[in-house]
Amino acid sequence: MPHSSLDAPPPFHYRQLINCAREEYSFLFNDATKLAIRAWVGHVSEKYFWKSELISEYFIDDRYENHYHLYERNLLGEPVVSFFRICLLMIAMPAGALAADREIALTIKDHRFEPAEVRVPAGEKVKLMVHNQDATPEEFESHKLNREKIVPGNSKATIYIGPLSPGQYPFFGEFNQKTAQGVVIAE
Amino acid sequence: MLGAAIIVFRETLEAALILGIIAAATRGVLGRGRWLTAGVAAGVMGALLVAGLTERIGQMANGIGQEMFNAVVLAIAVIMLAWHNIWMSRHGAQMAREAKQVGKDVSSGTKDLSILFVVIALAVLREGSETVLFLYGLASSSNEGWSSVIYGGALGLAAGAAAGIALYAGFLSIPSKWFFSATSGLILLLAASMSSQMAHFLVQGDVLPSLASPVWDTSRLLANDSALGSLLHALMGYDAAPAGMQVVFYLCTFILILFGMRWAQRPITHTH
Repeated sequence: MPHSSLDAPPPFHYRQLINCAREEYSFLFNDATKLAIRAWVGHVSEKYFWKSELISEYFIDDRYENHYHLYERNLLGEPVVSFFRICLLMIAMPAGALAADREIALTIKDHRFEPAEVRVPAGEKVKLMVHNQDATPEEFESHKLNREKIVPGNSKATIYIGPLSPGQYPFFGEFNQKTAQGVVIAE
Repeated sequence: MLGAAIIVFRETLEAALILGIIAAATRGVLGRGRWLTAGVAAGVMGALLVAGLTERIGQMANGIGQEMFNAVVLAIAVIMLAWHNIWMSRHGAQMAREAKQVGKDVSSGTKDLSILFVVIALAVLREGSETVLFLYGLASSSNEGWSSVIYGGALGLAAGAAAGIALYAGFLSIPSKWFFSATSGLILLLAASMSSQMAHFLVQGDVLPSLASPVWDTSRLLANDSALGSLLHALMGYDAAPAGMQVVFYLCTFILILFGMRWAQRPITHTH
């Protein structure tokens, strides 16, 4: 019996795909990670990659009653969907660490970092909020942290670092290297 | 002044080396000079534009606009370089055979040049916008005047250009038997290196996990900011302390393009 084309396809949410994947690969995860994955993947995907409406378009087809099966079997094929899910989960793996972002403020003034010594917990991802109070742009750079980011004059920039193993990680302002020096100490 | 020269040199080195490799790879293609010049000119204009918009770009995508912008620019360049290499491995031999009749196949040569035009423009844009910002900051701070900054910048630019020209000249001295392998080999490394940089920005913006940060640390052995380190960084993506994701991107890009080149070559060897 053909499905009525007037019936709108059920609204598809990213969460549902993740739920399916969770069931299939649940042995990989504990409950806390599952929650974090759900939040993180939904957040990142909706913000940067696609909106959920885009996916629900794939479901506008009246030949099948079960729209989820249409997606899995008809559009992409089972292996592709499986691969897709595994990729998503692999990307989502460090979500546990992301859940508790620690924010640390760092100021640039007169081409100097304040504080020049930033203490962060080892093994945790940390969000550095760099506020450049000078009128001129600066580039936050660190070879050991593997970071480089331009911070325009009189503005703020976010830099994620870590999780780091204990140690010292020097950083500097590339545009004013003589004075703008600092170090991140992970402990 | 010397400070300005050194930083401008460091920023322009990468773009100059890319330009040198591409100039060598397109040796003998008709209209090459025009396309390459246009690429540099478009890149410079783009750099000024991007430098002017830095603040706005940075605020996009919840504060990680700069990372996303760099990642997208690098992704486009990687795709273009991959296309060039795969296309050349199909048509390269044929073009070499017809090289004596210069300009025989103008249309296909132009198609490839327009791809490389984009690569050059993007490379100049990326490195150039940082240079513009740096010089602007230096010039508007009180202790150094415009003239000193301009001299320093020009000196650094000249040194960077000299490095590019030296690389180009080095390429021309390679015997023609090895020439094609040498240029396509370096472009392959360049594409892998750009892909690793793209991963670097995506990790920095917290879009991808780092997997391991760093996988290894050879900064004592060969630091990123040493002369050899920055040369190897520009040419083949050397990184003293890379994130795991960078290594994954590097290897995947390298293998995929190599596979594509082999695949493109197959029909030609078949008809022999």
